Amino acid sequence: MSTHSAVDQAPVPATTLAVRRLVGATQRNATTILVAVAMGALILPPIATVIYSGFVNGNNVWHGARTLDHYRNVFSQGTGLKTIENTFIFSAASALLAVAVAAIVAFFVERTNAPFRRLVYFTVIVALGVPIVVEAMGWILLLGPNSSLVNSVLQGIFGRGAPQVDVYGWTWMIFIQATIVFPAAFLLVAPAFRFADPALEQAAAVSGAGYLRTLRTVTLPLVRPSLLAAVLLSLIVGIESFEVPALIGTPAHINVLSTAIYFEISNAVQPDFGAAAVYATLLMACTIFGLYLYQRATARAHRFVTVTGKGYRPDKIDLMKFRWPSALATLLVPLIILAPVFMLLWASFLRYYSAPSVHQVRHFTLLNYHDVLHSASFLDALKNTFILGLGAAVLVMAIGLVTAWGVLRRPSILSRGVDQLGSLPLVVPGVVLSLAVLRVFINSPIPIYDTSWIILVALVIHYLPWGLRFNHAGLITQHRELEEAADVSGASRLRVFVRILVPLMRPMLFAGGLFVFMATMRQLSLVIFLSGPNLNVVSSWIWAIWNNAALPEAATAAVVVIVPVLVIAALFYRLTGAGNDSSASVGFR
Amino acid sequence: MLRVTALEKRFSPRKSDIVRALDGVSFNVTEGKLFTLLGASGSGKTTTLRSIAGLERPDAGRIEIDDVAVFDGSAALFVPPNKRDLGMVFQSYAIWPHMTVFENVAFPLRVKHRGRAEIREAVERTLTLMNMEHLAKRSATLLSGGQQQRLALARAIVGNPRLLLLDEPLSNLDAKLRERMRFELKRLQVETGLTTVYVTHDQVEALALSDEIALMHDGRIVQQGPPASIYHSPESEYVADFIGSTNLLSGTLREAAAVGEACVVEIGGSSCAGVLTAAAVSGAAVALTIRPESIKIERATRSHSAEPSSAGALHGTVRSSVFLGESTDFLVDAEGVEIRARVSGMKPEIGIGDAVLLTLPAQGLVFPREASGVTPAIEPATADVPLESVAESVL
Ligand SMILES: Nc1ncnc2c1ncn2[C@@H]1O[C@H](COP(=O)(O)OP(=O)(O)OP(=O)(O)O)[C@@H](O)[C@H]1O
Ligand SMILES: [Mg+2]
Repeated sequence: MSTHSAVDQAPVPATTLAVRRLVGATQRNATTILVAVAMGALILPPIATVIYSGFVNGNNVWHGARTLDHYRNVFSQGTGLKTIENTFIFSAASALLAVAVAAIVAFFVERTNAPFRRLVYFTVIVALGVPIVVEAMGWILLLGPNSSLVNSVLQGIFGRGAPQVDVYGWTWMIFIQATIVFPAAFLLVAPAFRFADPALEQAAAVSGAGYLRTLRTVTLPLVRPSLLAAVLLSLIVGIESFEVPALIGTPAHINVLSTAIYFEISNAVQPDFGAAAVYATLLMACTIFGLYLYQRATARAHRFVTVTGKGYRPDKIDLMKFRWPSALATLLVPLIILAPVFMLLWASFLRYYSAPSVHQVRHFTLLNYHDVLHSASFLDALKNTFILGLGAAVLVMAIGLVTAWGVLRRPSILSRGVDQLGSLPLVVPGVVLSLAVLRVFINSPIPIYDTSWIILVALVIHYLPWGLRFNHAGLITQHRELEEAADVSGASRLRVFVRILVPLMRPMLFAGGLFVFMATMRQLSLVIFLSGPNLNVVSSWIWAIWNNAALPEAATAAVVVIVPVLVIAALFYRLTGAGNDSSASVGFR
Repeated sequence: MLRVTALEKRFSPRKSDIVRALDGVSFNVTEGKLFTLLGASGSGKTTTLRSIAGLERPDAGRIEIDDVAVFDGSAALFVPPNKRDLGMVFQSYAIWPHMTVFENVAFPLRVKHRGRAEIREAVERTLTLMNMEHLAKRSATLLSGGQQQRLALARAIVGNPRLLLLDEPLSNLDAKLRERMRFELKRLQVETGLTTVYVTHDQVEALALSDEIALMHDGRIVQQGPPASIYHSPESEYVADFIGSTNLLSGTLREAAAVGEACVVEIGGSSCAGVLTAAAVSGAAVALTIRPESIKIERATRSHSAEPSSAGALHGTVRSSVFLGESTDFLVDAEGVEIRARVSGMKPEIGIGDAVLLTLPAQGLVFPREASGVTPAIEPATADVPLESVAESVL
C-alpha cells in the first residue's frame, strides 16, 4: 500500500508541522475557545475583585494598600459571628419548614386522589415568577403590627384585648421565607413521591401493613434522599436570600449576611466597600459549603431513589371520605402563594390603605392604576425589565448551547473547564454578584456603569449555570448524527448551529429561556446596587417606592407585573408539561 | 480514487482502558466501484468510515481522495468534513425532523449556494430516482422506515459527491424490505456510478452488493478481495468461519504436507481429504472447513452401516432439522462431531433421530491451528490454482 506520490512524501518541516497542529487544534475548538474567553472575561473579574477588595484599604480597589483590618473589624465586636449565626438559623429553619410542608403536599398531590392537584402545580409555577419583594410586602400587609388584616380580624373576634401578631420578628421571618422557597422545594420533592417504587409499597401492603405504617416504613425512607436534597437547596436559597431579611428582619434588628452587605454600602454615610466585601466573601463561603453538601446528597439521591422507569405509575391511594378534607393540604399551596398577592390587589384599589373589610369596598378606585401606568419612571422600569429579561434569556441560552455543545461533542479538558467556569456563579449570591459587578465597573474604562448594560452583565452571569443545565439536558437527547449529517453535507459550524441545532433544540431553548426570563422578573438582590434613580427594573422600582412609604403605588405596580408573570407561567406550564411528567424538575437538577 | 493508508485510531474512554479501534487499516477503492467493509460488531468499520468522512480524527495514517490528501497524520493535515465533498448515509439515517422531505434533500445544495432553479431541479430528479417524488412536501417525520432510508440516500447523493459513504444503511429495515432495498441500492450505485464505501456486518449483503470486500477484525483488515474469492478462498479460519455458515471441524493432520497440497485430516474416528492452506507437520492440529451445501446427506441403509467409514464418509444421527424454504438444514451428530448439512430443493424424507450417512467433499480447506505452535506463520497462499479449483467445484 506504499503508493504515495513522490510530492506527498516530501517531509514537512518541523516548524510548519507545529504551526499546522496549533492552527488545527484552534480551529477544532474554536467555539469552545471563544466561549472560554468570553466567559472568563465575564465571570472571573467580578468575583476576584470582590474577594480582593476585602483585603484592600480605602474604596479604590486598584490603589489601596493591602490590609486585614476589614476582617478584624467585622469579627472584633462579635457582629460577624452573630450575623453568620443568624444567617444559619434563618435559612435552616425556613428550609426545614418548607420541605416538611412540601413533602406533605407532594404526598397528597402525587399519591392520592385529593382534589385540585393540577392547580397546585400551576400555582407553584406562577410563584416562581412573582417578585419576592412583592410577596414579602403582601405578607406585611397581612401580618403587620397595627391595622393588618389578621390583627383586625383578631380584634373583631376577641375585642380590645385580643392577641396581636407582629410580622417583624424571627417567627414570621422564617415562615415567610419558607413560603418563598416552597415552590422549588415542592418541585424537587414531588418527582420522588411520583417515582418511588410501588412494588415495595405493595409488598408492604400485602404483608398486612396499613397505609400509615407503609408510609412510615417504606415510602418515607424511599423519598428521604430527595427530602434531604430539597432541604439543602432551600438552605442555600435561604443563605442567599435578601428580600425577606431586608423587609422583615431589619425592622426587628435581625441582620444576616446579605443585609449586612447591603447596609455597609447604602446605610452608612460613606459606603464601606471593605466590610461589605468581607461579608460577601463569608456569604460565598457559606454558599459553597451548602452546595458541597447538596452535591454530595444528590449524588447519593440519584443512586437510591431514581426509579424513573417509564410507563409505570404508583397506585394512587383512594382517600374516599377523606378526599374533600384532604383539599386542606392541596389548597394550602394556592392559599400561601395567593394570600399576599390578594393583599396587594386589595391595596391597589384604595387611595389610602386600610385593612380589607366590607365598608372599604365603596372607596375602591382605579386612580392608582392611572397614576402608575402614567408614571414615566415605572414604565421605564417595566420596559427595562422586559428588555433585560429577554436579553438575558437569549444570551444565557445561546452561551449555554455553545458550551453544552462543546462539553458533549468536543470533550476536552478545555470544554470541561468552561463547563465548570459556567457553573461558578452558582456560589455567588445575588447581593454579592451585584456588589461584585459594581466594584468592577465603577471605576473601569468600560463605561457601562449606571446603564442597563451593567444589569444585563449581572443577569447573564447569574443565570449562566441554568443555561448550561437546560442545554445540557436538551442536547444529550439529540443524536449527534443529525449534526454530522449537516457537516458532511458541507455546512459550516455556524450553519449547523443555526439551521440544525437551534431548530431541533427549540422546545428546550424556549422552556429554558422562559425560565430565565421569569426568574429575572423577580430579581431584586441582583440589581440592588446597580439600579438607581434613573435606572430601575420593576422590582427595584417597587422597592424604592415601598421604602418611601408609597404603599398604594407599590401595590399597584406589583399587581401590574404579576399579570405578565401569569401569562409566562401558563406558557411554561404547558411547555414543560409540569404535573404531567418529571420534566418540571429539570431546572432544579 | 480513495486511498487509505496505515490508519490508526485509539479511543481511551477512561485513562486506564484504551481501545485500538483501528490498527493499521489500508485499502484502495477504484473509481465507480462499491467497496464493502465487512466485520463483526466492534471491528472498527464505523470508525474507518467516520475517519474517511472527517468526523473522526485518526491518530496516524493517511487518507487521499482523488489523489489529494484529506488527512495525513505525519503532516498534521486534516480537512474538516464540510470541505471533503462527500455524501453519507448514517446508521440512524439522521433525517432532520424539522424539515420537509424536499428541504432535507435540498440542504447540501443550499449550503453550496446553488441557484434556486438548479436546486429545485436537482432535488426533483433525485427524488424521482428514489421513487419518492410524491412525498416532497411531506414532513420528514411522517415517513416509513424504507422511505426514510431512501430519503437519507437521496440527501447523500443529491450533490453528486466524490464519494458515497454508507453505514449499515439497511440494518434498521425488516427482512423483506432489506432484500428489496439491497437490489435498489445496487441499481442506484451502478446507475449513478458513484464510488461507494459500504459498511455492514451482514455477509449476505456484502456478498450480494460488493465489487470488493474487506473483512475487518479487531481494527485490522484480515482479507480483501472480490466476493467470490472471499467466499470460496478464505485465507484464515476466522474468515472461513465468518463468511457463510461453515462447518469448522477440528482434527489432526495425518501427514505433513506443503501449501496447496491435498492432505488427509482425522476427525473423530473418521477421516476426510482436504487442501492444506499452510504448510504443517504430521499430527498438527488443524481445522477443516466445509460448506454445508457441499455435504451429501442420505439415509443410512443396512449396506452402508455394514461397511466401515471410508475416507470422507461419516455415520451420524440427525439431531435437528430446519426447513428454510429453498433448502433444509440438518444438524448431524457424527461420532461426537456436530456437522451442518444443507439440502436444497424439496425437503428430503429424513427425520430427527434417523441414522444418516454424510459424504464430505475432498476439497475442504484445511487451516493449521496456530495455537498448536507446530507451524510457523507463513504468508497465506493467495489465489493458488488448487484453491481456485476448489471454488469451482463447490459452485
Ligand atoms: N467514541 C468512542 N469512544 C470510545 N470507544 C469507541 C468510540 N467509538 C468507537 N469505539 C470503540 O472502537 C471500536 C470500534 O468501533 P466501531 O464503531 O468502529 O465498530 P463497528 O465495526 O462499526 O461496530 P458495529 O457493527 O457494532 O457498528 C469498538 O470497540 C468501540 O467500542
Ligand atoms: Mg458501526
